Amino acid sequence: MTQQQRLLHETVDNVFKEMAASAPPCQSAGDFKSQWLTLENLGIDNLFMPEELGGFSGSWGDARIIFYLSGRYGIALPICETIVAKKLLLDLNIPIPKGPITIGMNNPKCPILRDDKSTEPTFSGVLDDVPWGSQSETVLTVCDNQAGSVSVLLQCQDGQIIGGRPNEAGEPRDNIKFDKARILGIAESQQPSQQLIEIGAFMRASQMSGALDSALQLSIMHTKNRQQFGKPLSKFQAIQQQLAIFAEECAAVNCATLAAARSADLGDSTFEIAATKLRANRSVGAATSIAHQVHGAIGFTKEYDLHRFTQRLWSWRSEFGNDRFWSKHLGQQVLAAKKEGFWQLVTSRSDTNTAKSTS
Amino acid sequence: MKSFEFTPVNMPDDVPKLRANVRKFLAKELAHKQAPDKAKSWSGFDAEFSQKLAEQGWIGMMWPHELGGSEATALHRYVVIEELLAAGAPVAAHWIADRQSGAHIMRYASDEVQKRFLPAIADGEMYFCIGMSEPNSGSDLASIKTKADRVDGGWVINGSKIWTTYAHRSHMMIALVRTTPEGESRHAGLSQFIIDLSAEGVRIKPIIDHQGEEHFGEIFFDNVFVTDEMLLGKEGDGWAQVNSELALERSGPERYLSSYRLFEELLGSLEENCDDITTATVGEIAADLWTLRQMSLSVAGQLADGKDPSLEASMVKDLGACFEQTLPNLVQAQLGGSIPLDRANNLNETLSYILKASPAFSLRGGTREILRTIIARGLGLT
Ligand SMILES: Cc1cc2nc3c(=O)[nH]c(=O)nc-3n(C[C@H](O)[C@H](O)[C@H](O)COP(=O)(O)OP(=O)(O)OC[C@H]3O[C@@H](n4cnc5c(N)ncnc54)[C@H](O)[C@@H]3O)c2cc1C
Repeated sequence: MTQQQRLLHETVDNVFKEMAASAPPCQSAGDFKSQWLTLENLGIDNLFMPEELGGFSGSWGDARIIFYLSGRYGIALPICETIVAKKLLLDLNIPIPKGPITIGMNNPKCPILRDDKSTEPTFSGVLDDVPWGSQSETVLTVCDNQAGSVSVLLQCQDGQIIGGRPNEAGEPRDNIKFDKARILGIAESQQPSQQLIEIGAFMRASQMSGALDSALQLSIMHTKNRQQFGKPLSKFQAIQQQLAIFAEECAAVNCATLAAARSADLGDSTFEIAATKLRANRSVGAATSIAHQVHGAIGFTKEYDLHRFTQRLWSWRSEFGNDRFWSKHLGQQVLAAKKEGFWQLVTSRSDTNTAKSTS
Repeated sequence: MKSFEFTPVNMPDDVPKLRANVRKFLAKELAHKQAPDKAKSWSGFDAEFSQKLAEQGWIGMMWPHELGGSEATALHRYVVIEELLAAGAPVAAHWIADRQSGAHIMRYASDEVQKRFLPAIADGEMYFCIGMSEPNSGSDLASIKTKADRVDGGWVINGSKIWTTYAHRSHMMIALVRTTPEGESRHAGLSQFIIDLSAEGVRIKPIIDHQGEEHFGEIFFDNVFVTDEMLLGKEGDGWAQVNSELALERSGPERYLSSYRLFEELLGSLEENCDDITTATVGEIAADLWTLRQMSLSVAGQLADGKDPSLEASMVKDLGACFEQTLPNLVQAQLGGSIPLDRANNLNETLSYILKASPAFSLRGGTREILRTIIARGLGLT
């Protein structure tokens, strides 16, 4: 971490810590708004924006810190989605609206229809499982079509919520249907929808790293405090060995997200993000099972905090690509590189220190 | 909670060139090696190969020029050894001397002793073995009984060591022994010596392992005399020293690459368009391997910066061993799917070797349970 990143970490850590301590378990619309304003006033959502526009000119390495902390504190706001959306809008030269912006994948069964005869293009189609769709002002999505792909920014309220269910942690995931909806911004995209999934996967994996660390920390604290058979649980070797495994999983995911952020800042992270999200997904089974096991019954209660992290982990491993999706994707990348070989693939990627020019 | 550090490293700019040179050398030297030989990797003993490697300057790379090294950085050395492992080069002859004994001598021995051993190691001609375990002392290393008694001009050693990798093909051993009887602190009174295995009173008996190979052995010391300067470091500091030696032993890329050849053979037997289950298995293996490599690289970077990442290294070794042991299971489960039978020969031979070798991955260099105990201590649990 650079000096600046340490400062960013410290600042955001304090804000999120306070927010997590005061947040009621179930949010009302009013709580959502006031918490959102706190973050917006601090400009955390403007991480990637240039300094002259009130941002921090942040990097993916900086973003990882915020994503991590939002997972670490179980922040129930679309702050990570907004940071990512603003970055994409900035790159696409689409004017950036205020308020929470989410990102939505287009439902492949329901193709996007554009009426190109009218002067004002409109958008029709369904976006599935939009994170915080019902609570966000706007949504950015990418549509692949024969001609290429286009990114469109839509007003959430112009659509109709036709279903979806909250994820395991109660975070809204909404299916939104748009019918000839007006388009707030549109751009031919260099970011096909695969890239939107990748960015989302990096975001979720970094959040998962934070949630894993919190679940580990709770487990360590609990086993040090709880006594059975006349001594703290943490003194039992069976418990120690389990927590060591847990810590290794946390370390692996943390390291992977750091390395993926480095590659993203260098301009090419297709391989690294696939590997990172898959590795993060695969840590969840062992980690959540150990966390709950060492807690006993108290960890099974609504009152105790553990579920804020385990429930998110169970959800996030499905979002922006589950194991099936990424293992196939990564396997194809490796098999396609067969001629040069896997070893050449991984070493050449990490030997590079200079950014690819993206223009 | 202590947070573990796995900051990514930036490789030095000349790394791609070094890598290319190592690959060119290996392509030539390993051209006639068969798959099962490559599978042995850092267990494959080939003195001729070690000497050729030495000619390239790739043994003892980090040592000063006058001691046979090229004052390379830890990351340059890391690149060379990971290339050797990935290619399945037979590096066992010099491996221990290069990885830990030589580095240990650099740190603790006098100038004269350094001059005596390090150039010979860097020439690929002097091989070392590790004298820690004894018949009644495995995980509980501090309980060792082999002892050294002071005599005129030196010490006399009595006792025995066991499970010593390539004892019968090594010239020297760095041994942990008792120099004062066990007292209140079990960790006090231990010291390390360099022992010449051709000395009078040394008897070596190879032990045949379950793969049928004479890989390790037992060594008996019967009044073996060593001179004063063969005491490594300080008398009584053996426990701290052996732990720093173990840190060298545990932190390298061999702790996740021991079964790497199996993945290469698997890929070599597959078409680009294979069935979904096999493709997904390849993806899972790749994700684990890539993550472990990032962790291992980060440990190397921290070592290069003069930090002490021994906790992080224990994590990589334990995760790495789990991965190395899972790999043969995954590959065995895929046989018969997208892998055409006529191509499966090398894969089967490699699988057969790795399957049988795999239990050792979580034993040697500190067992899984011991590593996890170290990690638990790092978490503040003990
Ligand atoms: C291929 C190979 C090469 C080797 N090469 C060398 C070498 O070159 N030099 C050398 O000195 N040694 C060498 N060893 C020995 C190795 O270091 C030991 O095997 C290892 O330290 C374990 O000791 P042990 O075999 O006596 O098992 P034990 O210590 O008897 O352990 C048996 C099992 O009990 C577990 N156990 C032990 N104590 C505890 C505890 N306190 N809590 C929980 N579980 C525990 C262990 O983790 C293990 O699972 C080699 C071993 C192998 C397999």
